[in-house]
Amino acid sequence: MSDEVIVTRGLSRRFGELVAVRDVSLDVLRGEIFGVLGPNGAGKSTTIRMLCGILDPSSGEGTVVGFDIRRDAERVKERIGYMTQRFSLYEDLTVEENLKFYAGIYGVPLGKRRRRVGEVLERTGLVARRAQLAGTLSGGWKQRVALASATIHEPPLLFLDEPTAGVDPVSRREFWEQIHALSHDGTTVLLTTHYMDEAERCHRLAFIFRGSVLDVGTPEEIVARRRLRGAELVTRQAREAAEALRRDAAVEEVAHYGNVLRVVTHDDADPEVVVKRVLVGELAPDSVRPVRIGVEDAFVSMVRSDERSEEKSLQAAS
Amino acid sequence: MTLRPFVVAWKELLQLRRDRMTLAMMVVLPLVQLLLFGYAINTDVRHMPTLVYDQDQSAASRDFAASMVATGYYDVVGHVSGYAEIERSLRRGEARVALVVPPRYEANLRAGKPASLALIVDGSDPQTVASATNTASSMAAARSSALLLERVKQSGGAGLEPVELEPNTWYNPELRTAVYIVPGLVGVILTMTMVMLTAMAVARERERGTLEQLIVSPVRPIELVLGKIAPYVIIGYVQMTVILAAGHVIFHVPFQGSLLLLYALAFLFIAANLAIGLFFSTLARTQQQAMQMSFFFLLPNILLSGFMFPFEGIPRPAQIPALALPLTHFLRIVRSIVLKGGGLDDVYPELLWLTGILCALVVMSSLRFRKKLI
Repeated sequence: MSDEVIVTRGLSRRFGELVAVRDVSLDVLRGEIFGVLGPNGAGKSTTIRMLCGILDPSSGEGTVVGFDIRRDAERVKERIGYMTQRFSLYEDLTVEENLKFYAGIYGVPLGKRRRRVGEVLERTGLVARRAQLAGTLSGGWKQRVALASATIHEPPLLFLDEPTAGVDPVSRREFWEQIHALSHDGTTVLLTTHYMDEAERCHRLAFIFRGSVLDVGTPEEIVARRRLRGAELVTRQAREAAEALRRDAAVEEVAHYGNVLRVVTHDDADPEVVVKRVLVGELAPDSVRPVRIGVEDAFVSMVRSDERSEEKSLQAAS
Repeated sequence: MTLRPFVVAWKELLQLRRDRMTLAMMVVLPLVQLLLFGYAINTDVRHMPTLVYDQDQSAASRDFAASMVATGYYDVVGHVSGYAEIERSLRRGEARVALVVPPRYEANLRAGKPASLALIVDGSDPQTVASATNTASSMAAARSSALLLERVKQSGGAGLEPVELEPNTWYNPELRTAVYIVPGLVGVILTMTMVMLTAMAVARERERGTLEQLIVSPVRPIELVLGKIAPYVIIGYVQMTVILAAGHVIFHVPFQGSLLLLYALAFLFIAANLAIGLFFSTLARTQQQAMQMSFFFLLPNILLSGFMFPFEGIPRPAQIPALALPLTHFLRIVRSIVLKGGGLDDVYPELLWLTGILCALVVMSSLRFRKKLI
């Protein structure tokens, strides 16, 4: 048995003129937490819908848990768990009834159903709330029930579409503990997210922008490939300092955090050197210190360079 | 076949049990409608307020007015002495009918000259016109023939008897409106609740986002549809039983035919309405839209099906869409079975119609449902 749970080659989907997903080729391995990042409308949801077998690709091919997403969509559906952005629960059913319903829909055998519901309640810490109506739960608890429902049939692969949207930070942290526990037990998890701190908790990431995959790799690999470096400086004239820095060729990006400016340079340029060179006289900062480059910086830089190269090609064409 | 339709039906029943409001509505609504329609709709207009403008002031004129009152259709509310007063009373709605007796009415009768009476009727309500004029003209005709016979007898003629028409009303001899309305009400209520409940049940899943979750699950559209509508079929039968039983107890609606046949044929009708509800649910994005569509659909049903107005009286162009309504055919079935003791051979044309409509609806809504799901 191969270790690839998802394999796609040249997967594309068009809606009329619009190309929503273009030539996506991915390999997701067993037990991996695989994050799909990208702005709204980049094609994340379309990709997931194709992988779940509810949307046929226009071209390209893919296998999910060993089944062809075109020919064996029904088999794929039985073997995956899926959690929508809105934690689609039946609000007028209790926690336990929701779980029993999904257990029935996913064909968990009657004899096993009770035991399985008990296990999932236990694992997600929902035992005390089993008889509560789902509609009366807070966001974080709803998310737990949604995750419990999506894993009731012990799927080897779990899709999570922006699973932590609108959930408080504490619940998010607990949610990630559960995701890692599932991954440890061998479940593969593919999720989409907007939160960059969450992206860094994934084993591997894929960046999708305008329907295309820009980069795939571990968070460290992706960051390293951008060859970015960063520094934070404290200044009282943040606006003027930011303008001056942005004009410099070595600077990738400048962001404001109150009186603190965060400067990112590209091509491994030393940001402290750049700051000392650019900010002289009145603009000289009170202090400068190096900072770590994260996935967010890599993501922003990738989107920018994609936009720049497109502008160039447009200019060349005209 | 899997157990999934049962799982869906179980969930649907749980949700219904929690939704006390809807549940209560399903039982209370038929009862309220039954009472409203049963008591309020009365096409038989009696006790019309009537004015008398007697310019003759004779025994004959008083006799005619008195016999009008005796029919029960007219209540004399006043005597007037001019057309202006009649006009004002009619305009104010104080009177609906006015009898005008011209001068020399009695004298003309005696002399064997033509004697005429005038009846003024408020035509703003067509029902009144029909009742008021029909009753009065048959009274006048009866009086004429009585006079004629008397004359003939006086002049020594013998063996002359008038032609008599003896009306013989079957199935509802007392002409009670409730007897006609209650069986029809079964159809109207089923149309209303079945269409609305199904349309809303699916729209609710779409609105809540649970439909998306179901689409990703291995449940097939047919399993989902079967599971979702099965509980509503049961509710439909409960409503039907409530109306028929209450109609029998409160309005003494007789039950002539086979209950089993009626319940069997009702299945086609209920299924047709559920299919319509399903079709609406594929069009509606929200529960509110589903509700609006259901109400919009109800109006032509009430007006065109023959529930309130005789089907034969509907203009031809409107009869064509009316024939496409399941209610039109179910009304004929339910009235035939309940009131006339009709059997399968009496209603089989309607059975064919209903089957045809149901097939068309099922094809139409399942095509759309499948397309919309994906």
